[in-house]
Amino acid sequence: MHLGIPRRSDLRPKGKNKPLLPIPSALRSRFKDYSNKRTAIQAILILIIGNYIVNWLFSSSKVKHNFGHLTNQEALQTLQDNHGIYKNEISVGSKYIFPPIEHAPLLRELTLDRLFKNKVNPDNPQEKLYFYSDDDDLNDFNEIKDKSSSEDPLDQSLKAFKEHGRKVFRPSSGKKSPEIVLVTGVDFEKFEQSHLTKIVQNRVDYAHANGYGLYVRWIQEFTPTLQEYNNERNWAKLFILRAAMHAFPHAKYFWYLDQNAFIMRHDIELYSYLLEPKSLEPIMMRDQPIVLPNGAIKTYRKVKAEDMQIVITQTKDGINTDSFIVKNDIYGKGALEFWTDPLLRKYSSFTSDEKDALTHILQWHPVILSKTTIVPGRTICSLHSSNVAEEEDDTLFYQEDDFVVNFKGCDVHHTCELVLDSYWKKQQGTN
Amino acid sequence: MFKSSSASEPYSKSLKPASRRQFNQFSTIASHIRRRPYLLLLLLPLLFLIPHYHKTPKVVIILAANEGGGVQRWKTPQEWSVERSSIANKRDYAERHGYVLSIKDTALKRRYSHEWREGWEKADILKQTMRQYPQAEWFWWLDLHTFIMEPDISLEEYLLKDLESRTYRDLSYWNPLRIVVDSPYVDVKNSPVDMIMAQDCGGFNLGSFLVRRSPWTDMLLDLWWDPVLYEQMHMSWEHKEQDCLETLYSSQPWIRERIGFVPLRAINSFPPGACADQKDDPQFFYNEKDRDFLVNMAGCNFGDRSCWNEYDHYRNLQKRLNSRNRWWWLPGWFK
Repeated sequence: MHLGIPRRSDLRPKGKNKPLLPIPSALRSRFKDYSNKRTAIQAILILIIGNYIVNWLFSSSKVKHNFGHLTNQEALQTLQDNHGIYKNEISVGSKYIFPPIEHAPLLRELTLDRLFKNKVNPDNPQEKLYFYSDDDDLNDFNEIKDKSSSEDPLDQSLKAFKEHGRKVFRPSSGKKSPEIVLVTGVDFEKFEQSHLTKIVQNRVDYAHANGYGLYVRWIQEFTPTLQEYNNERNWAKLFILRAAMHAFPHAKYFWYLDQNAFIMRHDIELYSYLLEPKSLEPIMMRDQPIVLPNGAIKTYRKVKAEDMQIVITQTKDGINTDSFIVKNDIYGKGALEFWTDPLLRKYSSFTSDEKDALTHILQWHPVILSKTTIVPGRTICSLHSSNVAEEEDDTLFYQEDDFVVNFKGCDVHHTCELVLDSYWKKQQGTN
Repeated sequence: MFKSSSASEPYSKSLKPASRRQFNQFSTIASHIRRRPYLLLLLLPLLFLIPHYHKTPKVVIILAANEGGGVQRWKTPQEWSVERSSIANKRDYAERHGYVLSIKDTALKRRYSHEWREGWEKADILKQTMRQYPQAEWFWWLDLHTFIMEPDISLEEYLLKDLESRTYRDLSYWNPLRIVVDSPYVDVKNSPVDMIMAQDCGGFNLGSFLVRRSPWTDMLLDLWWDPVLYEQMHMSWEHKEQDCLETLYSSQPWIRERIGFVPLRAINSFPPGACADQKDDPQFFYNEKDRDFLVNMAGCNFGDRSCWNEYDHYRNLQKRLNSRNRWWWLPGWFK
């Protein structure tokens, strides 16, 4: 055999299965695997999946799936603190928040001019404009610092007056918030100290007997707010009620009871008496006209007691806002805040009476109407009448053993003191 | 037989043979099927008996079509075209993510005629749509001249997730209306966000906003229009329901509490030409590089702008941005 110059035939593959190119035998076995179907499928799958993973990696960097790059992260972090009219508040552990009634004559002596910052109205020189001032020197508990630590009762009462609105109920840990808070506004210009004492004492006694909270404010504290739109003083009840909701954030119900009403029965527990669905259900007045005697808009026929957010009564003239209950949630707060919207407060036919604004709201806004129930007057607001009740089945006027008596209209005849006194004596006799 | 044995003997003894007998039955069935696996195919038709639960749509997109339409004039072919492609854009988006598209006619109607509730049909349409889709949670209002530029983005991921911490809860960041930022009785820390909105160069913009079904929304939609407010303000409320909402926002804490603001470009980018006074401020205008979500050609029929041209531009741009590369099936590194 010739071993010198290779012949052409020596370069050709010897057999049919021989590869064209000389491949090292170590790799040759691996390439042969391609003939194996399973391996081929695996390879294709890996290619496709790898492709998707890479595509996903690339595309996710292109399209932003949030708008974080547009927002100012710093501005997101700063959330407003929940505060009332005053930013600096005084936390109180007692659930009875009421002003020192003995200051009434002193406050009257001070007059509004010293209680508020004021200036003469440029449009009407007869009138003065009053303003809130939040610039007093405060100590660590947000109480006003005693400048001269004077013993002058006038200074003391001024300080108490300015501090009173800052008080909020924030119990120390372990103490629970009351479920129901009784709210009243008192007017030191209209009534004498003895009269006011009887009213506030009545509220304190009732709240104490049933474990409720109490929130009493001077109506004069809201003078600057009322003045904005020349609102009458009875509008103040709404601001007091809203402040109460802030002062007792965890209470469930707020009962506003005007200063011209008197609680006769301290043994009646409001929740089981009225607010519990099974107590409320039978006395809800359904299909009752809002405007009496025959208004077109009536309360809903098919509403459930547990959905009620506002419980209110009527007199013969329509809605009576001297005694009503509001639930502390978004409906109650929303209704109350809409009720005090500046555009409603300055509407000429509403400025004098907040009751007209509520009547309007109930007639135009079905959502609020569907959450409101009218109950018979004698449940929470029996009217005082100088005559003895005429009829047996009367649902408006006070009769023996009623819960609350309301001397509506007593200020017209200046008989509030007299009437209250007679009921006060009656109650002292029974208890 | 079984009964009598259980009565006389402790039950533990009688349990064993009984259970074994049951298993015996099962094992004969199992071996039967194992030998004839094709029998399992007979079960297939029964699959239709299994109730298949449709995912109830969480989001309803409300598209206000036929804006200002009515009998006053004919719609031009270009307007028809714009309306058609706006609807197609939302329909495609809704289908892609399992939302519902609800097209609402906002033609001029007598009950919303001049100086009487015009603009407030928004609230009525929202109320009606909430009744129509009682399962849906979010309702996204879109004006006709909007175009979704990134249809791949899902609202849940983009917007509705961690809402409370990702939206502005007051106006301190941008306040063209100079509404007092701090308000008493506002408790944003403990309130959810029930409405998502953006502000443009002039204040609130209701061209694209979302509301959540909630008691808050019920109240807002009910109180949004009030005759006493309307009587006093209708001359000064130039933008009708939008100005009214601004007024309510500024005076009522409960409304403030639950509105979350997002940057305009998050849900409502403007094309150049809108907000002429601030045409250099990038916070309002559509940015191709950032791939903004939605463009709102509000006011495109005023001045020297043309709705059809703008629409055409954004439609083509969207197609280009979202078109698949011809070589998409190749591994990424080949591109």
